[in-house]
Amino acid sequence: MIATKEEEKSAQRPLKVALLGNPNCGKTTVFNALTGLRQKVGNYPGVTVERKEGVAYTQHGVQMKVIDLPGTYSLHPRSPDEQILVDFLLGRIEGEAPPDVVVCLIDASNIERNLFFVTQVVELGFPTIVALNMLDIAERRGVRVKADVLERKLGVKVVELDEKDDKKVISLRVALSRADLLRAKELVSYPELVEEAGRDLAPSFQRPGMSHDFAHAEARLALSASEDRLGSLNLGPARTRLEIWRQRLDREVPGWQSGIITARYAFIGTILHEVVQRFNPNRVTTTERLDRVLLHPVSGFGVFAFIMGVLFYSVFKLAVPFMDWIDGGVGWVAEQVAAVMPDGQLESLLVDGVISGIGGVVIFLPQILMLFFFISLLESSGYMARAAFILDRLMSKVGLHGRSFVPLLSSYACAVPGIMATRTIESPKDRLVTIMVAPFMSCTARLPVYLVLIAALLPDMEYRASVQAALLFGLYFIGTAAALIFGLIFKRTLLKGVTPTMVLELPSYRIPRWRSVALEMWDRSKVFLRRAGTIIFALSIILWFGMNYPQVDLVVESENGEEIIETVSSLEHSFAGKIGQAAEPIFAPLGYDWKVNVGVLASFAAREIFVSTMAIIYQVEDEEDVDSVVDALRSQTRSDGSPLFTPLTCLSLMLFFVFALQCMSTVAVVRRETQSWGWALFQVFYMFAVAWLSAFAVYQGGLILGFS
Amino acid sequence: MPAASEKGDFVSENESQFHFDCGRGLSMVLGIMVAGKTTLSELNPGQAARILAYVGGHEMHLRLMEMGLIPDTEVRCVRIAPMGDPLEVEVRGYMLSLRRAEASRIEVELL
Repeated sequence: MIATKEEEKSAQRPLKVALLGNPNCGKTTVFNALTGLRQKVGNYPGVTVERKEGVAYTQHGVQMKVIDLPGTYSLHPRSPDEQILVDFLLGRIEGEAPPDVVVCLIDASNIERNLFFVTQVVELGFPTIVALNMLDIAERRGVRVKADVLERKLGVKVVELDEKDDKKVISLRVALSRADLLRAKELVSYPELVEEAGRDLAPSFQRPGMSHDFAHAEARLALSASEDRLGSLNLGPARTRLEIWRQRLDREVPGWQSGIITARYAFIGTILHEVVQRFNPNRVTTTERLDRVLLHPVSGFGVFAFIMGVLFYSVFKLAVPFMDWIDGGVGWVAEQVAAVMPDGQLESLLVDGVISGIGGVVIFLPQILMLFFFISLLESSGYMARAAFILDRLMSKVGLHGRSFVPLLSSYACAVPGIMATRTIESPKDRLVTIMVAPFMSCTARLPVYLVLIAALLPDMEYRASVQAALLFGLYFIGTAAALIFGLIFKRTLLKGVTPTMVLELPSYRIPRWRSVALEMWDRSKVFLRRAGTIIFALSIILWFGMNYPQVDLVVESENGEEIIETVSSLEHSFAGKIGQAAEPIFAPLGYDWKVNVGVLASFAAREIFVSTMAIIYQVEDEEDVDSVVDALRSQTRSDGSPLFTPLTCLSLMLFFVFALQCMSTVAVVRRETQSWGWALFQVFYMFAVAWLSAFAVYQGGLILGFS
Repeated sequence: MPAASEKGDFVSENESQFHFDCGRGLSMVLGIMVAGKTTLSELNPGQAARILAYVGGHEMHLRLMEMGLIPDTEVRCVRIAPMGDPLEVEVRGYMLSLRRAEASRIEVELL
């Protein structure tokens, strides 16, 4: 009964194709070639592993659903990526049926290691197509792969992908049209006791509609899963049986796990003699020639510094005109709306709340596009792994990974793309540490705040510009130091654990596919706009509401001398004003009054709001003009008549801005990237604590030492 | 690549040079070192070796073995990163980078 229902379903739904392969085997290019723009990026439930799905057509026009699975080296689940892959193939993910067809990609220039994973997948017994990719690179390296021999040896369909035709991948589409795809048999023989354990455990893994062979294969995989992976397998009572079998295997067949790996490589070794024809073996490859320069102690760092310089300059500077356009565009839309709509609350909500809120998100788009253009370029050309290679020592000193460097550097421009860029870090813990400290790097949004406060702090004096520059550099330095120190602290405390191995493949250099680069940029901006946009949108409305409500009745004299009552917004009586006053006990020790509190609190939406909020609070006519804002700040006094923005107050404010996480976009992105509100909120709180404590120390310490 | 029969000669010939290179190696102090036996982390750029065994730990070895670093496989140290760590090794026709700490647990025999 159930089976017939399943069959009916499978007749209706499109063919489900899983795309698998090692990292760096060109999987993304093939996925893009198959699906084009018909892609959807999401996350697997509860984990940070990205799920990429797209619609494609076989050569005969039959619709397929293609899932691009994370690139991994093995089917033995030892990382979240591998776990997802295994769960996906075995149909253990809720609401996700196992694939109908599995396409396994091989980088032909690195066929031996690629076959390790491929033979593992083939043994699962799905209808399988093995696609040979990068045959041209293999040829240049003196490796010729005979597809027909490989097909005979593996027992499944093998196709060759033509590099020149990588837009269409016709051979793969043709193969996908075939209904008679072969399922393979076992290729490697397992120790008898492992087989016995598999047979014994299989019933516990059996689910409706699943073949016995499949349950057996799954049980065998679970046997060699790592300890912490087993916990997430949700096995129930089978867990104990599994443990008993593992202990028995460890006792009776010492080294059974490494034995299976060795047996697999031995099998690969025997078939390779017939599958691969090697020639011209001693040629120095282009990759090696490039690496001699790019990984050289002197020129390597030189090239790296140059590339980072260009990247940083582009994100920091080249994106600015585009951001100005967006800013202008948003301003224009706001003006149009304001002109069309009658004055009133709805207009204010739309213009000051919705449009400026959305504008505040969209403004990051040029920087995100720019950064991902470079990251995608560096990643697909093979350079990113080299950058990690030369920097790993430096980053490991503070407990981070070589791959943490680019995300941290990008965060100088904006933490949002920086945090999104942490996806290139494979180890989940290293990635989380990098996300947690990235917002300490001073981003461009802090710059206007720094500039105004530095200007207010320094009197007109000799060498003012140089002192300003030194102060600015100091603020950047403090932020960077905090990022590294806290990276180390997290690595030693919260995210302690066995340091995962940094096993990094240095792939052959490749010319990037522009299509893939463009698609990556498109994907990233889509994800950013959709996810961050919704949260920011909601929060900006709340912020607008807080600054404008409740309204007060004001008695004013009308033109003809009568007294009438007008309902207006008043900061002092608004929720925001009230909160600013209520926050006085928190911020008074840092030297702020309630109006500054409103500015500081409002800037938790986005830092640069501080300047415009202060301008509104102090009723500065031209809020775009830094000088008039500075003048307004300088003329403010406390209730006792002493100046408010003393050097000490300015320093305290600056430090607060260096450390505090005042950016809704960042919070939204951290929530998305970590799949957890817990981490996002923890980050807000710990960075607030650091900000408060350092501002407190400077202000109170300064007072004690007799400064003002 | 020397044939199996030449192996003995080749190693002992290399021995004196090896002592010179890695005299400070901890493994020598401990006296575990036999002819040409060292760890992957002690190789100089350009040197080739054959993997003998893994020492200590467990879980990490399986990962490295899956990457092709199984006993009896030939590896070559290609270069050492500018700051002295990690190393780049060639194994089964591809380039792999691993940290010294990991490489030091792989016992090899110089070729």
